[in-house]
Amino acid sequence: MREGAPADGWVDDDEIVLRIMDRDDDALALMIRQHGPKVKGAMRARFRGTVPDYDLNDAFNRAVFKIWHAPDRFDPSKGSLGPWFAQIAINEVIDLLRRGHRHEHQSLDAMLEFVEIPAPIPEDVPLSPDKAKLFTDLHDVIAGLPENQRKIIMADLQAGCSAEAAYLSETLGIGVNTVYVLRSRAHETIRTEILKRGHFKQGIRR
Amino acid sequence: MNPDAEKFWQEVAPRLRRHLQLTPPTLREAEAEYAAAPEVPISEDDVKAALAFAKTGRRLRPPAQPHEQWVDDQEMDAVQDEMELVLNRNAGECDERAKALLEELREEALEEEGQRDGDEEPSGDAGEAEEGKGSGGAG
Repeated sequence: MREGAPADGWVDDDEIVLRIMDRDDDALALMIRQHGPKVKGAMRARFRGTVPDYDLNDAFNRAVFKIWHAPDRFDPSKGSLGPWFAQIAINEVIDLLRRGHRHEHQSLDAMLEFVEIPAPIPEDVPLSPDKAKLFTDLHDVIAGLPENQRKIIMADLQAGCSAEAAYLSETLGIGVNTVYVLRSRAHETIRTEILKRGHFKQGIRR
Repeated sequence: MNPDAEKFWQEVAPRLRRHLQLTPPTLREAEAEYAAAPEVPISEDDVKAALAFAKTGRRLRPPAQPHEQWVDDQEMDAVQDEMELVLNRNAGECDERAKALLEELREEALEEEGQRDGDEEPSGDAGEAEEGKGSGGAG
């Protein structure tokens, strides 16, 4: 049982998943009620200020869709249901930022495709003072960018590549070309400011 | 586009992304995010919408929202019988009755103006000022 969860009405993950496998939609509703608030909280915490709530809701619903259609993908030996649900929902948002289109006209097969985004190798090595200073400065420079430039850069970081310009254009209410121009300006400002602060005097080394 | 700036960004972005933990989460990372996340309330309508989407792949239509609220009853005395409101007329269409009424009102107004001009004796200064304006405008 989840820590701090009310004792009454809390149903075990395994039971929920087994009932979903039996096409019990009450069990799906139960999963949404039990884990949905935390999943939405995790989505908001990660994409706050970049992805609007209606797109987060769509991604949430798509995650529920996938769990309903492929509950057998849940492996209780690897983790619990809530975090698995959160992982699928977060990956749905990343997919939206990368592909750009909302999924209104997709086929069921396409919607059932699980978003497999490879997770990077975790960096557990403690940061050197230089690296820590670089990240602090990068953070400050990005925080100081004009609003739309900052949002584009944050969306790019969340997507792991250049977020879809058409999606950003629609979300920010600006033209597609403006997205490109603002992104380019942001890159220039970031480089200039970081070099000005004394980083990469010897050039960029990996 | 500045190629140096682009290259610079390509180099630093992956490191920053990892540092800010914006990479797709592993299940272990998702567990941490889930545990730390605040709870966002989910309404029964949200649950219904998610269930409907799960089963059909289609969104529930959001309930129709009226664009405007009803307005309070208005005092309509100001609208005289002959001054009909024109609410739905295509551009360029003309209402003969309204046209005739406008013509009538225009003539009345001109008559009243003519009478007022005749009644009022302009002072000398005002008359000169008006003349001055007129000649200035013509020149």
